[in-house]
Amino acid sequence: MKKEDLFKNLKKAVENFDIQSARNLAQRIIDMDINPIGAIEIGLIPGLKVIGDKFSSGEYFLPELVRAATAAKEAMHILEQKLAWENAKLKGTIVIGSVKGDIHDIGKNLVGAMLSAAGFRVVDIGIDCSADQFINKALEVNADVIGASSLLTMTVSKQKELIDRLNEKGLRNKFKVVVGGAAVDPSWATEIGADGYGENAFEAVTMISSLLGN
Amino acid sequence: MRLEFKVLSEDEIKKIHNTSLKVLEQIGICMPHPEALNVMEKVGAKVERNSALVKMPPQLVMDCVAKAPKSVTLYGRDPIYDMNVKEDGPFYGTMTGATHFLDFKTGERRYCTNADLADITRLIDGLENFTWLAPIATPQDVPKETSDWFAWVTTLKNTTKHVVGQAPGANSVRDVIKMGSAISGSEKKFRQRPFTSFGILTRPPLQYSWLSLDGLIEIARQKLPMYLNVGCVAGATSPVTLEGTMVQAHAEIMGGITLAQSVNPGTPMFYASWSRIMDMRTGNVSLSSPEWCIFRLGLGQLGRQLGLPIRTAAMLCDAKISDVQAGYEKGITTLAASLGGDLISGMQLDSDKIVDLADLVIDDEVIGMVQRILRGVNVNDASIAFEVIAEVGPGGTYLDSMHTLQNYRTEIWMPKITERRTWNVWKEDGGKDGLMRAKEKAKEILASHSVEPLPKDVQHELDTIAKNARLVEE
Repeated sequence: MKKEDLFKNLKKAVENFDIQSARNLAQRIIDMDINPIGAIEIGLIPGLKVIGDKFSSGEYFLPELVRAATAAKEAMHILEQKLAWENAKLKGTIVIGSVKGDIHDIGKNLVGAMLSAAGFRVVDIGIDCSADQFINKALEVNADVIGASSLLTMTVSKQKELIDRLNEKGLRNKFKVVVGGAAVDPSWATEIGADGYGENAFEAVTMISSLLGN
Repeated sequence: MRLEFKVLSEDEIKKIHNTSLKVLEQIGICMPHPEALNVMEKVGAKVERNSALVKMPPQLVMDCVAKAPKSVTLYGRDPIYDMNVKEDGPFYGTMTGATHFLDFKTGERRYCTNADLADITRLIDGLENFTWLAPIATPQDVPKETSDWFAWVTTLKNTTKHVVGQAPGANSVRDVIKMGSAISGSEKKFRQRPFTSFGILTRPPLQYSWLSLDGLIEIARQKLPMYLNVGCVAGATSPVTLEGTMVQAHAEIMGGITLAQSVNPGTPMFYASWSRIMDMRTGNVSLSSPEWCIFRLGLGQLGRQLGLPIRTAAMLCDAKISDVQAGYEKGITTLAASLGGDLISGMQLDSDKIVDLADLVIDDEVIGMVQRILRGVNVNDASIAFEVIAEVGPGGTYLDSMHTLQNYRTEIWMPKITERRTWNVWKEDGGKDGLMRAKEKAKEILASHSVEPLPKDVQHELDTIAKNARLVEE
């Protein structure tokens, strides 16, 4: 199959929330030594855009969005093996996670899905993450933004810890730090010196886009 | 006749129950706490230490359910608030954990402070239809990690009703016992009439956190009443089919009961149902959707089948303010939940994040209406009133009859703030809407109702416990 067809089918796989096909196509692309950047720029991102547009117009809702994002994420995971990220025309790289002690992740996952749909590289480090885990991953992937989520009032202070730790390491200006989650308020975000706050997943995308000058 | 609203047939209850047992046996629950794993292994569960997965044989589960007391009494600090929960319920109280307050003077939405919580608690103490309460909000002007401790202290200081609260870890349970003992005068006196009980959260699907398990084990050790709060979110942390969510929720609750009874048989436990749906447009959880009502009723039936007292919730609104949306959400969910539970929590706006004093007064009114519905009728020779019908006869009037005079106060519910006058009279009196009337009532109660302050040394002891509290994590 020609590479244009593979990219077209990958776009379709995302549009059809077909996780298995997305995986298979990504693997074929890698096996055939095709440059994965095309797969992302012609396959995944346009596919996610179609999904995102249908979500905005009210034809699709979260299950479609999240499943399509999963298909794209799994394909990305395979393509990454042969990818030079610096050549991909992405809007930015963001490391997201839930802070230490917080095991809630639905909101974070939604934000990740929508950021991917909007053309960002999303590196999700999961739940219960220490400040160092955020920072080390951000350094590793050369992130533009670190996003920390907290649902419990008991764990929200860890967002401040993250910023303090960045300061300690002299890295505060290297990354934008954004915060969100049910325990967070704009005044808390201001208080701790975060660069941005998202009330919900939609706002998060707009806010992060404007932070990075998009 | 006790009113019932069934969503499940007997066969359906059996099918769900048996599937829940299958979930516990074949899929298991993750319990990442060394002591929990040790206890479960000892009683015959299959424990995989690496993944902290516990698989429970059905017989073990049912034996443990059988050990949980079928009748639970919750004590008030004041004996007039004692509750025989299953026999005399449902009893209404509050949810926990709101973060914001609608400023009573300005209407501004702002963080809830410890001082606000004191006022709110005092108001609830003065509302007749609330017989128990929980720290309805977590004060935001106290150390965040130990805010639950401060919430406990402020609540205990401002009410003599039973208090239900959170248990973040074993030492929080022990600290609350210290608080209760300080108030009662001694631990012995407190344990004779314990006026606190504790909630434990699961983390669906099929998990408990270390902190929750730590709390659960301690509450069981102390043999104080415990609520297994299972808040599956259909479509996100449990199957989107309501039936599938009921299977999972029922399994998680039974799993927790199995652990608690294995730690200490006879620990009083509540089947606490909080399953809800995710709004698929916004990603927010709804606590007042039609599915909420179905869960309250279905899980209520499943809990009743186990013989346990049931805690559930109502009067939580997705509405941001106490407007017409809040009205219909409250009206519908309260009736449904009241038919599926014995201890009913509620009373917040914006799901469970905002407290509004006027809204609490409205809740009190709604509870009054619902309680009248639940009282139903009692068909007997006196109530069917044949002789009265004969005496009044065709074309007569009942308004001045002795029968009416003797019975109307108990037969016809009297509203406190519901408007029933004619239009003109209402208009001339200011034409106030429901919210305005509720605000006035709240003002009245705040101005007139007080709770006898605890002795200064007891208050000091409570404050000290909160100040010295530590959240002990894994």
